[in-house]
Amino acid sequence: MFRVLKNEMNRKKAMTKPEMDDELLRLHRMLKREIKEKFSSCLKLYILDAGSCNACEFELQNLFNPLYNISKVGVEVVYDIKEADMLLVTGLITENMYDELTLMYKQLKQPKHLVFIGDCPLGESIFKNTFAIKGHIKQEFSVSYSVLGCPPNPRVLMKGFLKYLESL
Amino acid sequence: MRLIARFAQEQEKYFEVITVYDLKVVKERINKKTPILLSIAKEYPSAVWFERKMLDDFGIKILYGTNKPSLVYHKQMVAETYPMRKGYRKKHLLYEKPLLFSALNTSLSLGPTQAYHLESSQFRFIEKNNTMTQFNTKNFYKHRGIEKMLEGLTLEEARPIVERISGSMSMAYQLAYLDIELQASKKELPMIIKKRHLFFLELERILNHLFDMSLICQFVEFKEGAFFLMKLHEEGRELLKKLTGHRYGFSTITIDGSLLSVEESDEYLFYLEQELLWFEKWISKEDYFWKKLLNQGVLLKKDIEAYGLVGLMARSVDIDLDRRQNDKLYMEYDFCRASEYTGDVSARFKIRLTEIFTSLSLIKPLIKNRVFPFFIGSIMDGEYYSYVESSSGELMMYISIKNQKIERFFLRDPSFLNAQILPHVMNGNLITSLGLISKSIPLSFSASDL
Repeated sequence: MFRVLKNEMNRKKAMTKPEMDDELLRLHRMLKREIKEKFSSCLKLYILDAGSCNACEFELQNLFNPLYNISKVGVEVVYDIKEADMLLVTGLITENMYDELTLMYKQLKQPKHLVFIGDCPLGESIFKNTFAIKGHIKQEFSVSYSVLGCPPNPRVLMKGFLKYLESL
Repeated sequence: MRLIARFAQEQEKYFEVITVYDLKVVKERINKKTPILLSIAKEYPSAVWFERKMLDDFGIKILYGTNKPSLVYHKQMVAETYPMRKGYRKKHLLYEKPLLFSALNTSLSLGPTQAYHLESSQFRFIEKNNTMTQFNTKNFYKHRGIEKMLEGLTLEEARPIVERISGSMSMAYQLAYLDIELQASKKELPMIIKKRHLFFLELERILNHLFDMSLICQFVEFKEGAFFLMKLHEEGRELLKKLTGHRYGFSTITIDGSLLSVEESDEYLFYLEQELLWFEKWISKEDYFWKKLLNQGVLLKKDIEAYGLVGLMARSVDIDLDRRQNDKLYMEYDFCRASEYTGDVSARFKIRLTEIFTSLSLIKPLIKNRVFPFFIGSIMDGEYYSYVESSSGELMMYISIKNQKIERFFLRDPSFLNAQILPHVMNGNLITSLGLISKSIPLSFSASDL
């Protein structure tokens, strides 16, 4: 009995929520409203790393941590592109990942929301002179929105998503 | 002997293949007209990817290796195009015709559907009764584009690029690079600055381990553990931003006057230690949690040795491999290597926790350290090797300098070795354990050829 109680207390302590500041609370509220209106309360993201240093993926994953917790406003990551509402692309779009991106873009349902994350997909990063990237990618895909930064931190990402959703 | 890396470079009249072992470096000259090299893959299975990459990079054919030809080489690429040769100066790779979808193997299923798993596009396997068979990783050149891009630059020009190669291991990359700059200028860094660098390398290790442990908890549906560790990780990232101006510490390993004060970390490090001591005590009684980790993704010592795995993969079967052991500074602080024996996910989880405590004990005394500026003098031509124990394992960097400019830059990231074990460890396991096993192995795919 004592052990069960102790365990319960430990779990409760571990789940103590970090405090959100006013800006985060406002972002949460507005994102929730936009997602409810435009995606029936559930925005499904498919994330494709197309040749990044991994910092952008880390920050995208951090969006789901207890502080930013965007799953609470209805954002979900899916692993089948056919289920996704939005395709998020990180990285330089290397030759090796170009096929994958083309395929994912083709399979993304209409209307195609393609969002670039970070400076790299736009070819603006410090790595822009590498031969291993496809280049001129903007001409081949219809990019809906770009969230810039190296990497964009979770707040910047949330603000970017909100701005894009508001524009729809 | 342990194989660390195998790569080629072009000299005026021949190709030079450099094989780096832990005890020696072997150089072989290869005829440029008929470039053929004897494979060492039978003795060192991890040589396979290195050798296949040499074929793609330089057109060096491998004799008596595996039958697998190129590593990633695109079928549509113009014949005899080898981008790492000196003569190749095109901005983009040359293709005979545009890439086609048919190049993709659509008969194999994609990865799993658990949250926090972003690498599904990197894996391929066939599902049979919920079990994975014929598992394969999408092969990758880790940083080939960057290696080529840095050729012809001075060390100073290349530095801002090197420090952004890896988001999660930027400190390790910066330290390896600085080590080469110091070797090339024949200078020794004052101990006081080395201590500051050690602080940041260990802080990076702590943050990466917290993140990985959180994901492991997530995959076994231990949501309280995941929540708790992710919270600590986020606080640590914010601390790093406060100390360095960046959540990933880009441009942190400096030697000049812009050295950073770390005194603000005092409170966080104390709090982190207390929280983790509590966490360790708590999970030691969570049998449900350990049952899910035990005997998952087991790797035997002989396999880990054969594939030359590094970092906590090696230490999870008590292989004596940690670059920090040979470092005078670490020894000054009584550094002790973590080790486990079972080679499964639970061992990899425990190693991470132990290493966080070790890192904390190392860096806490360093907070009050005052630092002074230091300058690197002129750079001498030559070949330089550097090794850093990053959070994912041993990182190797090689730079050849000629006329004060980079002639050849080569990186052996820990993932290039560790990823080769994935088919071996995955086949026969349930699909549901894919995320757990892959996340317990420190891997960074950089999605092919950053």
